[in-house]
Amino acid sequence: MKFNCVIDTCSFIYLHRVTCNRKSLLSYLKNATNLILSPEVNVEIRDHLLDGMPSNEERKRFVKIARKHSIPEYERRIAGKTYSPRERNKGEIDNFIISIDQVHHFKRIGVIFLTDDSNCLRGILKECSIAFPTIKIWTSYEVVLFLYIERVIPSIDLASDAIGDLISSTAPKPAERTMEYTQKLIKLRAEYESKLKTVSKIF
Amino acid sequence: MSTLNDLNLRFNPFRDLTPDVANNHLFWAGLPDLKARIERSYSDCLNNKAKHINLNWGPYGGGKTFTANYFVTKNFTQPNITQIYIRSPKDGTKATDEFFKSILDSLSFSRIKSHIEFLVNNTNPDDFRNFLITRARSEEFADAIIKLGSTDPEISNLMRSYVYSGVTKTELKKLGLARDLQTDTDSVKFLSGLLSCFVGDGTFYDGRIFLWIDEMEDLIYYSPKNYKVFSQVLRDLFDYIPNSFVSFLNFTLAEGEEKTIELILGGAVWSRITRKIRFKELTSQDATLYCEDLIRHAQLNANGLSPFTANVIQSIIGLISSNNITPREINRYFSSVITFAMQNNHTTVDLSIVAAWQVDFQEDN
Repeated sequence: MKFNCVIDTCSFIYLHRVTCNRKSLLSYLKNATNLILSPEVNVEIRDHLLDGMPSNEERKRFVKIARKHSIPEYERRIAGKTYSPRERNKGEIDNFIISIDQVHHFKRIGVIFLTDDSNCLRGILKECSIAFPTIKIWTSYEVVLFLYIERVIPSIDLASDAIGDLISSTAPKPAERTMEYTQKLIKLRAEYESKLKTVSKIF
Repeated sequence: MSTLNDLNLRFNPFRDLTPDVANNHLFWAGLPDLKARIERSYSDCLNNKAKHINLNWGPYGGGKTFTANYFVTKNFTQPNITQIYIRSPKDGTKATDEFFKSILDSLSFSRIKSHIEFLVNNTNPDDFRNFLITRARSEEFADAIIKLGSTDPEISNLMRSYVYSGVTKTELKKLGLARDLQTDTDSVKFLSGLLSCFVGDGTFYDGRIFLWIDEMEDLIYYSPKNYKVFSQVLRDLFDYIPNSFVSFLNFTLAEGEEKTIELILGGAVWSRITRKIRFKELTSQDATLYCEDLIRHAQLNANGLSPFTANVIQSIIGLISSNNITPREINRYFSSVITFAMQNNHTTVDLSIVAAWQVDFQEDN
């Protein structure tokens, strides 16, 4: 049985950009989990389609819709309003709705809400993200841990490089960097290095 | 509104929140142990031709960049000292190129030209060429370095292009060289040869190089692929210059341990570090000495701690969070007090003025 990974646009792009043994982390994740997209995120990804990304046709397989309520009805209940297509935060909210629906309507277990948009988790999804304990929240860094635990990434050095590549590929331009952000990244790098070492003990 | 002179100050000694190389008042205040540790590296190199790779690490605002500026602009009595200050390259994809050009800029092309010209004119040509071949590990780059000292304006202009932007095959032919600087390895070889000219072999020239690389924490932004290339460049450079060379790597780490720095710098660079100098948060005692030294240095007329008193200094330091007492925070607080005192037409700073300033300061922060 595979995990069900509801993936956000930014994570989809980041994981596509980073490679390990000449394959993108996204392609490894696609094989190791059931990738799921809300219709809105599927449209957002279409706007950022890069060479080698799953095509529009292939992504159709990943798109799920909500069953217990319609997505607009879920939006109204969770966010207090319905969102227009392309409206800010709609992708994240709809993905979270799909996550809830997958767990609590379809009774799927092992549902992961994957996003690298920390603003969204601190903002619009702040209450939801702590109110549904069955949904695990991951960033792309957790994907690297997962792929390493599953030995899809075969060595700690490659996993460590993948963490470094994720940091590098998501970094702001030099002029936009701040000392606080740099320190946050250094701390994050050290934390995930420590987590990789912990994981390596089970092998 | 009063002036700095009314406060018995020639200038505001706390004005720099970020170090300013153009500041004519660069003055080392307090922290005698820290200064002594840096000075030891300098004197060991100056007196014993030693080679050191120092890691200076500590919190943001802890004085690492100031220390670089202070020592780089300091006048030493010994001759033939070359001081280079650069920041770590920001773009990992072009790190080697940026590093190479930053060093050339810091040295300046005109200084490089005149120095090589001096060496060419005062050394046996074969000996100098052989020396360069050993250090640059390339005959082609040894010849290119010699051409940097050419007095022919056309050759000199072409060599400027050679190091900064590259030259065409026709221009290479005109220079009588077979190879341009194409790869990172080429750049390192050329740089090693060039820097060796500022060290010499103790016979035709006896120099010392002090290379400061600031903001090494920016290596966190490099992809592992780019990082490996750049760390190899640093490693080769450190290895190719055998002596009379000191490098200081400044690394800001807000929280964490040395092993975090090792992770970011990587084993190749980490294993070459010979000294680790910690820029710690200041104790209250350190902070007091720092303030007293700065105030005395800036006083118009020597008069105790005027315009402050020992009590006032203590009370201001006491307002800074105890885990964040750094020179930058101290400067921020004291600079604000001085500005407040001037704006309110005071000529001294007493506890009542500090109390009134504190209300203002808390509102603004």
